[in-house]
Amino acid sequence: MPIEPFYLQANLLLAVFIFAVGIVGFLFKRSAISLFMCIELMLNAANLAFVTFASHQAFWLHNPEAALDGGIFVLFIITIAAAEAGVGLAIFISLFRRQQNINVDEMVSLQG
Amino acid sequence: MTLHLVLYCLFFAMAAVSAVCVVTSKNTVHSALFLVVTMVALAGNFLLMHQELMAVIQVFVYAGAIMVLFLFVIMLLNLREPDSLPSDFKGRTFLGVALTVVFVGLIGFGVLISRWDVGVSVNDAKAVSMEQQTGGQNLEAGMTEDADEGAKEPASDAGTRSVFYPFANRLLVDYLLPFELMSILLLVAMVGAVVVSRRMLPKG
Repeated sequence: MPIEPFYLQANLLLAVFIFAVGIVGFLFKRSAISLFMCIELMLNAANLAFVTFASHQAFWLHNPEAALDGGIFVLFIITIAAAEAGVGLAIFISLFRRQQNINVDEMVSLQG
Repeated sequence: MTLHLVLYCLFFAMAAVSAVCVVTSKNTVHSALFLVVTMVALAGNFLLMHQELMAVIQVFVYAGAIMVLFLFVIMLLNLREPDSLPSDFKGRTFLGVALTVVFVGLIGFGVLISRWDVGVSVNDAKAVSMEQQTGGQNLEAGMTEDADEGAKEPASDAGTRSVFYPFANRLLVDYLLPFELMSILLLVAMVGAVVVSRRMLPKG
């Protein structure tokens, strides 16, 4: 069943909602790994928006090339999220060795 | 009340509820598992939109590799959410809900009042601008209105009928430079992760 404007709008609203939940969690969480999971939530919301528009282009506007462009950008976003997760978790490990928790409220040594 | 609508409502509710539970859960492992549920629900949404390749990539790479890496690190370091202090901001829940409502309201309003059933695609825009340039006449011999000028024909006919062919063709022909840059990025990330998390030996 091709994606109609109802499903498009519902998917976009879901993407915006998940993005907003990610932002609120990022602002109010104190564990660094929870902040990282909120970043992944935001990236997933963006992926949902991209795939929604790719499907809209393919089935509603009858433009399969644009649908492929959306899918490829999703692939790049997932790749960047993987690289970022690897480096970020390595940073968390080395931070954990310094102070025995990951509380971002206590990471104040760079503050003037 | 078709099956498509029922499944869509199921995945919608699963994704929304899991996303809220990621943020509100006190246990870090529970947050990670709720995030996995959110990703799987989004993959279900992708399947309902007939983007099967995206659904498979989401489950394999995102939920299956990145979240497993998260859980490895959480359990390796035994990370947990810090205990709530008395100095915590008291109106956190209300402010969080208010921010979410404002954000979704602003952008959702723009989504709901737009007309999505019409659109100008890039190929139509190219064709329109080419017509304007040549005055509506095809002056050059052999000039076609083929939209994908960058796509090359494959050497053999074996893979052109698979479901991956358009995607792989677009990725490796038109987006070859970003593809190679992604490889370099992953290499740099791997080396950086090993270097950053190395335990420094004491001198002497």
